[in-house]
Amino acid sequence: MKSNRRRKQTARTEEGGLSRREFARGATVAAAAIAVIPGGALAATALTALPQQPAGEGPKLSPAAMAEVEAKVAEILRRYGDRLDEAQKADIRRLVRETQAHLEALRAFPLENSDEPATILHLPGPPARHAPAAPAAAKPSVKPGA
Amino acid sequence: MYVEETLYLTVGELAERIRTGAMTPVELTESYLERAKRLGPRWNAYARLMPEIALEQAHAAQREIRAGRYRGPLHGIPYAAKDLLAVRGVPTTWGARPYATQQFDFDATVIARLREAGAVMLGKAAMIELAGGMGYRYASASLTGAAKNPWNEGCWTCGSSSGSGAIVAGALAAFAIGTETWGSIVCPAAFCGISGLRPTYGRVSRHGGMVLCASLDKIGPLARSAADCGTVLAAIAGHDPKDASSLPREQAAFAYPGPGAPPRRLRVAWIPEQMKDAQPDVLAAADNARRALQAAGASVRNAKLPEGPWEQAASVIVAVEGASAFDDLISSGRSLELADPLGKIGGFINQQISGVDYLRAQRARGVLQRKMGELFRDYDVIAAATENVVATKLSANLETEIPIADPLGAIGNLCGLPAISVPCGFDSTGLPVGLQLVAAPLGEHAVLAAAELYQRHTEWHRRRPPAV
Repeated sequence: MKSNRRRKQTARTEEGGLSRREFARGATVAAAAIAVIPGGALAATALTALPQQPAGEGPKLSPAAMAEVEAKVAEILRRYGDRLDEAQKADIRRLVRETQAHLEALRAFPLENSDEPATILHLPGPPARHAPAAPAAAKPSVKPGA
Repeated sequence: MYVEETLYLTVGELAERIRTGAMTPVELTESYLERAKRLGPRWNAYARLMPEIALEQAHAAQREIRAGRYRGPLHGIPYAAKDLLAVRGVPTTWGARPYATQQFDFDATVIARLREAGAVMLGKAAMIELAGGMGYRYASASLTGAAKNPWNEGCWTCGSSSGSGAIVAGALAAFAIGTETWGSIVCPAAFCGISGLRPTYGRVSRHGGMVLCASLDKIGPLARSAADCGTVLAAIAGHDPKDASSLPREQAAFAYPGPGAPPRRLRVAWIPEQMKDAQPDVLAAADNARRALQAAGASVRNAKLPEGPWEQAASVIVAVEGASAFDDLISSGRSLELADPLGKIGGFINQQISGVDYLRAQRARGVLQRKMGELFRDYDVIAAATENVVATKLSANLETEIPIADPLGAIGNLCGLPAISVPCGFDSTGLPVGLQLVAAPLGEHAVLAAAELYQRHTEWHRRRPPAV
């Protein structure tokens, strides 16, 4: 049942909506723009360590996305504003805007109802010992993350 | 005291000398301690040296070995552990000012397993504050200052296992333990010209380690050869009921019989697309590595990673899980006590990412894991430069001066894949370049076989920084 549902949903996506291939083409630009601190791309780093935009500029966002940015900045300032200086506030505004661009790219990635979160890695049976090319060791699970 | 050349021997070479009585754990420990006291502060490599504990363990190892109770290849071998691993009764600072006096009354599982293997703990390795969990803009984002690269003291070691990289590269211990959420083992390995192994997610227990991102954190070794990494991994891998993400016993177990030839021709997927922005010297070194693998008998073919928002997904996951793990720190405003200007405010921003976006990232992750699974049907390992850049200047603004993503970091960590970085050359200024090899889940033997094949035919891992 589950696999049938998956096939139907995939077909619908390919016919009527944005296919994964189409998404990937569109997302290339966004992905390429991500700056990752080598090795330190941890937590906020990856999202906040982005190329600095010239003053007043930033990634182009839709009005809805900009409204979301403003709401997030307002919430940060409500909670922490009295402890932040003006430079930090400006930094936060820039970084929230850039983070939003990446969230928009992620939201554009088509998912099906049956795509489950992969919070824990599930693996196939035990690997063969010292066998880099042996089928049992080299062949990964069909669905390693689900 | 042993001379510098001896302290640069591999774990395998030191172990053979200790096993045969040609070298003693006590003198080896004293030699590393002397060097670490002299050079550790110069490179900001250690958060804390523990000479009393180290010598106590070294004497115990020496007594056991002389009594004929040799435990194995780590018995009497001195090492350092990243300062996010709990050690009973010793400060564990997580590299961050708000936790400068923190202590635990138990040992992390990795520490306990290394003690059982007879290894000698010299001290806690310096690190980027909170493993970079709140973001960072400068190499100085650490309670102990910027870690300096033994190859060029004006350059960084990379992070967040920054001290672990300096310690191994500078022969301040025989090996070190690092951790990786996204790049924090393989990047210091690349920047410092050493070997670093990131295990499959769940293979090494994180119990007693600082949690940054529960669904991505891994613990692994940095050492002077791929074989050394295999030896250390065999000691620390295995199921641990204290870690909820620990793989089942039969999957987590890892035995390492030592380096050997691959049982059949190794199939390597080369990923040029991920290196299109690489510095020219990095690209040249990587191309040479490809040729060396082919000359050694591997089949190397160009391939592409599956398309998808891996970096966005990985970024959202790390950001949200980190914001959750450090919610108290952020919500109290104490994150403003961190050293780095980005680290001070990063948590405030990450708190604003919604649960729906987080789960979207986790769902995308599942899709991407399946796509990667398809790639490994045709290849044993995928390969590219570990980083597209060499070590950066200590003063570099990492936000603006390194706008280049690491080639295999996001997808490799998102999919929980094992990886190794091994040295594969130098740029024109003498800074090391790393080659990364990534395998399917539980494919540690594949990455080790590929790296050992490469290291049997090259000498880059034998190079040492300028004598000091």
